[in-house]
Amino acid sequence: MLGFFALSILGIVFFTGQGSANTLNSSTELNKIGALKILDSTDKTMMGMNLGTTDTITSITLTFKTSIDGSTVNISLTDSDDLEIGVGSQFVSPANTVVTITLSDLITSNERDTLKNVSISIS
Amino acid sequence: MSFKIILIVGVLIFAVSTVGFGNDLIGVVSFNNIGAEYDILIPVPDADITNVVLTESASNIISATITVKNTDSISHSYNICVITKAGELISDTQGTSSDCTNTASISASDTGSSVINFENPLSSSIVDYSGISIQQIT
Repeated sequence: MLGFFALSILGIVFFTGQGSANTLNSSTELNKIGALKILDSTDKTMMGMNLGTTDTITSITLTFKTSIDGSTVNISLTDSDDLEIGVGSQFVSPANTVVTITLSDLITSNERDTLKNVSISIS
Repeated sequence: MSFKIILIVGVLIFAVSTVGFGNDLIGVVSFNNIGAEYDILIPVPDADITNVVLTESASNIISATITVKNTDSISHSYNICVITKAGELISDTQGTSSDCTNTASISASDTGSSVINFENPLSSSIVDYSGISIQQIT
């Protein structure tokens, strides 16, 4: 009888340790489902974002629906782990709908593969 | 050993197992393997998004043009999906794949574009979120 209980407890430990403890999450690198998320917190409506076709990203050109005048457009790029891999800002004057932002540090080819989020704001 | 002790130990085992399983089955808002084969290989697409353009017509934002670059050494085509949000308005209908389009075959290191017409044109002038997905299909 005691042996039966011991085996039962071992079984519980086994199942809780192996069966349930295995992660149910797939790797974030498994696929590019949700490859790029663009959060536009300006009130200008971003109509276009050109990241360029080179392996690295040094600047990004944004096109807005309404013009910006006397304000600074900020951009932040993060990877799948929410680590910031690129940041930049550009003061716009005179009024323009097209803004080219040069990043403070280029995004490398490897970083570009992990690019996941683009956040745009105006200040 | 008395029946009472067996009963107590049995209930204890049941309680422990319930807590043990329950702890790790908390739902998370992410893709998971519940009800799926384990360790299915889904290749990561060899593609970079190079350009995103929203198109407006009669004050409605009606489509998105997504340009991707094939970063592989052989040709590929991709399935691209976009969901765009403007306030409470969402361009796609939940549970459908209406806002998805396949690209033509794109040669190695070349770029290709895909126009995705929104099922629900966004009448609001303020678009605040776009989500883009890429799946390599050939």
